[in-house]
Amino acid sequence: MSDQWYKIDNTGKIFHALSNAENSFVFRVSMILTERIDREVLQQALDQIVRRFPTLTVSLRKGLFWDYLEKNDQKLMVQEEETYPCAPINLKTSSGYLIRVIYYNNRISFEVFHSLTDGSGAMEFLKTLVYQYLLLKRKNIHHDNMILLPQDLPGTEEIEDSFEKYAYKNDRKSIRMKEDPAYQITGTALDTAGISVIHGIMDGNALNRHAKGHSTTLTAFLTALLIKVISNQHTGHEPIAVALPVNLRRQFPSRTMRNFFAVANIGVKVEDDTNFEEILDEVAMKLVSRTAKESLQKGINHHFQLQRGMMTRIIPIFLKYPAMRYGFNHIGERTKSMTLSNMGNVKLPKSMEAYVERMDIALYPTSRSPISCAAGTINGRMTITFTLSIAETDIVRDFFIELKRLTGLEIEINSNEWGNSNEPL
Amino acid sequence: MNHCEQCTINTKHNICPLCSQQLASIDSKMENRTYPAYDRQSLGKRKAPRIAVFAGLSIILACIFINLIIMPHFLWVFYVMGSVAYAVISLNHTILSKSHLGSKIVGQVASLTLLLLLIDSQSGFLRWSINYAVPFLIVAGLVMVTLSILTKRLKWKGYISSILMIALSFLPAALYFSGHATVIWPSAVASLYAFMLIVFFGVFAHQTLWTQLSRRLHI
Repeated sequence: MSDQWYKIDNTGKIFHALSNAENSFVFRVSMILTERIDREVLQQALDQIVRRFPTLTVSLRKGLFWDYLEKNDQKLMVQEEETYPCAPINLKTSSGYLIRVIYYNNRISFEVFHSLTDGSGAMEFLKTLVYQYLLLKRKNIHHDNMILLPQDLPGTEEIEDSFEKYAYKNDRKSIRMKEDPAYQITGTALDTAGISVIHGIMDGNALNRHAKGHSTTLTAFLTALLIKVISNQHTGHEPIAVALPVNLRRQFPSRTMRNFFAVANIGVKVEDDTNFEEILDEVAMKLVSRTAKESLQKGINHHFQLQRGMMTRIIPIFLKYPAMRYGFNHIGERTKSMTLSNMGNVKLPKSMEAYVERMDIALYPTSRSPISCAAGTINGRMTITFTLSIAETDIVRDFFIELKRLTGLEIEINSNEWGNSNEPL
Repeated sequence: MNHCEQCTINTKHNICPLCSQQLASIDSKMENRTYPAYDRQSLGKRKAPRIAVFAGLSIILACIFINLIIMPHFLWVFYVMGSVAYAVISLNHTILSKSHLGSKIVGQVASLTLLLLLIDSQSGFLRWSINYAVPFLIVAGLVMVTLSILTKRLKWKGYISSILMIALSFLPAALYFSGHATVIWPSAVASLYAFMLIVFFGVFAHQTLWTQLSRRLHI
């Protein structure tokens, strides 16, 4: 019997309460290497690193007031990719794990249920896995103190719930800013359970330079562009809001491997005569204000107090989870049109760069927010990935056409052809 | 690499992923694919539970309609409602669901208890349900729980089911002492069996049960 257990962190509880067949809350981070993946070597590498990440190698256990995570002693097997990205994790076939390591041709993917960690935690795991894989493949690489090494022991700060650590315990007045309902994207549901994935690959450095040329950040530029293209199909008066996950580790000195992020909803009311520059200015201004440390601190305090209340804690989960689901579907999801997660420029040791072509991130769509977008850059190659649970691709198409028109960059598009009714390549 | 003039993008696919326009007709080799060819047949949504609920509701509605039109003085529709609800629960929970055995035993005992109480109450309330049928049904459930304990090491879910089953076992006694039931010995048998099971747990429960309890009940 395993003797190590963890409470699910403050954010993770929400994902766990809300997950179902339509909302998997499973996201994927991948690295595409320069050569074909060797299954045996990948399995060896995985075997050698799993114990380095104790908060990821766990099973979910049922509790009366909260569920919790328990160390999983089963062997975690690598899997050849067979189904669509971000598919719900079947505990019967995953040996109870809430993570998956998948390979296909040159790609190694790590998929994880969001209750365990966020994009930063998942990327640390993937970096260590790829590092160990390349070492076993006898590549001449060095960690340069940029990789969590398998032989090191995980520090207590890696397993902490940073929300509890950084919340002001006595700040009971932090109230979440009331947000207006945003425009909701709708479309035709796909024939089978699954999601359509579309990647756009381009020169990340050039795109970053272009954003800087507009005196703004890449995230603000992409957000504004998304709002602009969504407005093409929006005829109502609601604002178009893009939810941006914010990595709190950049503002608070946390090294946790668990969830530690906030979400900033950036909403803009777009009129017929609103041009891209105006949208960009408003997005940039709101982004600065919503990601300021004071604003994020208030969010952490609010989040902490919400779950610290005795009433929240002593209500059994069979009553608590439906209430959380209602709140998510009728309040949380209504305030955003789409999610955009920009992981930024992922740094690798110089010696590893030659073996990694690019990376990508796939974020699950939800039933009320059927398109999600995620971006990440490695080695100067940026991949913007859209995941869709609807058949219509107009927004994605308009986004890449507009991006090409504004920047002149060459864009390569790949997809998993889920929305193409089995049409051949 | 193919080029889509309409979307101004390059792609390895022969069909543009953005506008579905045919760009080339030559099939790509497997090694050039970005994603595998999926087996979508296995991904169809499970429809049986929904069909069962729909069929059950349709039968009940049809029977309400027929009963009220043809024989409004005798509401036999309650027998149908109880039986159909029991059949739907049995199909969805006992047969189709992946719940563990203990949960299925508790589900069957609880739903059959309700069905028996409904039938008895609608047929003059002769108390055969609470005097005999329900206590013996509960004893049968306890026997099944005991067998599952003896044949395999009990996991947490097994304990929870057993505790629920034990709690249910005191229902006949409660009905007797509240004056609803009139025969004591079937209720006494069910309660005695439940007490014996509690003693069994106290003596033989695995040490980890108590560790598990503290985790399961954390707030």
